[in-house]
Amino acid sequence: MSEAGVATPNFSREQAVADIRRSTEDNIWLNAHRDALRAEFANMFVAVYDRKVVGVAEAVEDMKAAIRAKGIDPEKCVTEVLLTEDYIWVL
Amino acid sequence: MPRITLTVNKSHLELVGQVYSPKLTGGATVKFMIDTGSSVTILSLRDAEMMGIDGETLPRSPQKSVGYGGPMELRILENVMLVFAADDVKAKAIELRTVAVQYSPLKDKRVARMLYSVPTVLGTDALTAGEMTLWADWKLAQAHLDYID
Repeated sequence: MSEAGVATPNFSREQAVADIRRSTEDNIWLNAHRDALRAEFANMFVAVYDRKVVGVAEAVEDMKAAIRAKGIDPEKCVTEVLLTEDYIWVL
Repeated sequence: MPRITLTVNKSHLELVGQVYSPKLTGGATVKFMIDTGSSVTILSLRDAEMMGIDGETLPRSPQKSVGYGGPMELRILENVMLVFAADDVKAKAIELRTVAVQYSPLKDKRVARMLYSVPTVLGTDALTAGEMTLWADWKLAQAHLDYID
């Protein structure tokens, strides 16, 4: 237990940093290709891994199945819904 | 001083990290939008479902939540660790007793695509717990978080 009372998980910090760096590049790639991807996959869930689209579906569970079918862990992907309309987020 | 460089996407400040919790098998990748207007970190519906988290099974937030859209229902994920990658290749871990989870009772979620486009936000609870300083320059499109190791 940490000072915050959180059960500290067992994980490799080196692996976590490597995964985060890859996912950061995937996010930058997704941002750079957003318009083209949105034109191709309008209103769909899209997953990116290693700067490639590895899953496209109309629902989260279907997308996870498509990613797993490629031997990739869905939890390591950057995902978004590519809506055709731009919304203003009031968070 | 260690630094985490943020991605400036249009006017949004983003960073990718991992989420750990006893409810998860490993670290799940999440893209966070920095939201200094949110007092709590909120996992989006999409990211929660990507992690296999069913909002129905999570406890309700004991505090009422409200935004410009009105009251909203949030669930609670307990004992969470957020991990980010600093520019010096070290991991920065932030521990939070709870993280809020966006929740929707809509049965047909296929028609609620808009809800799934809402991003996960990194709120001031995480920035405070991580003792972070936010620096942002929208003119230069550069931003980062500094913290003391």
